Amino acid sequence: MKQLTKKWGKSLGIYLALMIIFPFVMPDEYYRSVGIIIGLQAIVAIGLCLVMGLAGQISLGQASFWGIGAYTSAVLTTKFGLTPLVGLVASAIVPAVFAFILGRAIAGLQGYYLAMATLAFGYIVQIGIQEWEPVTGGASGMISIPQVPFFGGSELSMYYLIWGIVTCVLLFSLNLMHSRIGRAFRAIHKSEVAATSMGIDVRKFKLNAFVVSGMFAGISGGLYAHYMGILDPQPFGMHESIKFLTMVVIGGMTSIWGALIGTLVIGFISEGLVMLSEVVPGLQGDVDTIVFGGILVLIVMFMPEGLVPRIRSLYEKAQAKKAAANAEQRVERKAAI
Amino acid sequence: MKKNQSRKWLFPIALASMVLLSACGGGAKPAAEAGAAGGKEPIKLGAVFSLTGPNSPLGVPEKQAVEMLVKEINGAGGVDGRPVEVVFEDDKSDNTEAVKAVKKLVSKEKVVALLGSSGSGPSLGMAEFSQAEKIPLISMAAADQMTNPVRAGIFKTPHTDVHGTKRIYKYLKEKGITKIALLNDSNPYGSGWTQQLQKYAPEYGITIVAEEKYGTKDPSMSSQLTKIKGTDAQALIVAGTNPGPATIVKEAKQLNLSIPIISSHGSANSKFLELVGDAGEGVLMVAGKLLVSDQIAADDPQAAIVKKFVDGYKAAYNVEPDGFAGYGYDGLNLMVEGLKQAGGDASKLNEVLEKVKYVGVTGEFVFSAEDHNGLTEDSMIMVEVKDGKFQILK
Repeated sequence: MKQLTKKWGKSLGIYLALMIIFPFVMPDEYYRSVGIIIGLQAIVAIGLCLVMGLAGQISLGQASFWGIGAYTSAVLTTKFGLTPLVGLVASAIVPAVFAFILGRAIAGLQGYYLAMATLAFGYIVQIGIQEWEPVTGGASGMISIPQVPFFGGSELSMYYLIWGIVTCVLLFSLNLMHSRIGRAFRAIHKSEVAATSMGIDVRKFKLNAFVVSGMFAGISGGLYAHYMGILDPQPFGMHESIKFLTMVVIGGMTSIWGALIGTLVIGFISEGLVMLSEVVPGLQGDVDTIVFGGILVLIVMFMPEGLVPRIRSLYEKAQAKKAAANAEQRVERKAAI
Repeated sequence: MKKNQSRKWLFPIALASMVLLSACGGGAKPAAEAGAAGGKEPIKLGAVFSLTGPNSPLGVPEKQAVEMLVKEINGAGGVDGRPVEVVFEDDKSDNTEAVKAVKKLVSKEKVVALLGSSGSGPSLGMAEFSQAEKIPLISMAAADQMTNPVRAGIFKTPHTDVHGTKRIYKYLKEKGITKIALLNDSNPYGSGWTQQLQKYAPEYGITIVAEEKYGTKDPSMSSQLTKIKGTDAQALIVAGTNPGPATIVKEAKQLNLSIPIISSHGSANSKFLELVGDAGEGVLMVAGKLLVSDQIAADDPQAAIVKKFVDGYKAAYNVEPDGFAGYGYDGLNLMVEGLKQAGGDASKLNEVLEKVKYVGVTGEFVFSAEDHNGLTEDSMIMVEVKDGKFQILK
């Protein structure tokens, strides 16, 4: 932890300050709700980043864990009358169990095969939710899901609850990355063969990453269900999974901060487009999907490592240049003397 | 350095997308203009419709009808001397977007009442919020769940599958038909119909002898039809949205299935006639009166308003209005009727709307504390396809 705060002190400080003051900079229920949605997506994106960036796997089914989490908490609270807090704990456990079972079955798969397996899983879950009508309400969904009783459940308290969880998830993941486990993950990402020969149990690590990501997505899903008050199977499909993937790729797969920044970039662009659409009449509806697609293509073409690692390396280069220039000056000065 | 980097990328992207989109954009205006009844502070209403995404064929006509009506109301002096202003939002046919949109309308635009949305999911999301905030909502979503069970301040305008079912059964009873077969889509629309058809069959002395379903994207339903042909069903009921019902009608003809086919209002539109061609002759349908607006009897209580609506809509947009446009039109009219009775005081709307009686284009609405849809099966009619046109059955 000490090492962590030292290394990430500045970034963490900026993040915390921005996160805390945001609702007061934009003292408007609408922007708070936008902040809440971005926070919910960030939790899923950080989880996905662990799978993609660290373990080098592609998951196209993240929205299904999100959906399982959402429905778990919704069903427990509305049908069995449990408190949302119990529901939320269950919404972390149940998707993790699903991720474990799925992960066990496909842990040997690599690259495209894992992508295919998670893609199929995503469809299975969405169809399952739709057809299991007595429990999930089928295609017409569920209504009147209770709110989380966190300081009265106002927009502002929900904002802090959700960003509090984002912070926990972020710290956990950063910490993980700089531990032995994180190093093992990165070794797997670079070369599975090399990692195996170094005595890393590749299967186990991949499975763990997958389970943790499922758990994060589940927590976010549970919060989403209570925040929205209604659920239907629509948001838990392929489209949403790809959106999560885009966030991680834009921000930079190998960086936990990247997942957060990627989510923010996507969120800001959506909101920017909404604002622009009030001035430019044509900018409406699915325009954001086109823009995201375009950005994804550009990122993959020109900046495959993603925003955050690129910016970091540029920053470091600039620092090195400065240092070199300083050194040169010193040498010159010495020579002059 | 950071700034330069992101600016370098974002600017060309933003520019390119703007150029692209302004080139292909439609002409949607952010808010309807306040008309002749200016001067006083307008009554601000919010409307969320699915203007893009899969529900856009519903949302666009709904918005157009509301825009047209706003002009008309303000031209006639507004409500209580105040003009009506409607702020539109697009939910992109997405639940989360609908909830965000409704929060924006209430917190930023300070609207006093809400209309929308087009689809069931977004509407249910809006209802959760507007119920908590005690802001009245009139929805254009078909789902029975919207108003069943009844919730304070939540109303809806469209017909439901309950009305359609009862209207068809009434017709069958008149014709002395007691044994029917069902062939419904497996999507929410079709399965909703199946449930209601099963539920009300005993009440009308009807036995369902065969119950088949098909997938929305199935290219052929001949195996189901062959099975139905083997039963002693006297009529076939089909509930689905295009193109399914048209395929069924065509294949039934090829298989020489001679029993009458009755299709639901989900397929009662010109697209069906186009798809089905000559095979459609004699097919029966249950629909809203708007489908045959030129054939409504002069003594029908709805005749006047339907004519006014159809003429106005045609003049404004140069197309025939469909049922969805009617739902939007009735929604705003009901809201305005409520506002008039409340003397322009929106805080009383929740209670006042429960007493509103209004003849609309969809049907005669009679809201009450127990019924927040207010329609009966008599607002629907049976039509027959004759010479490639819909013909009202007397």
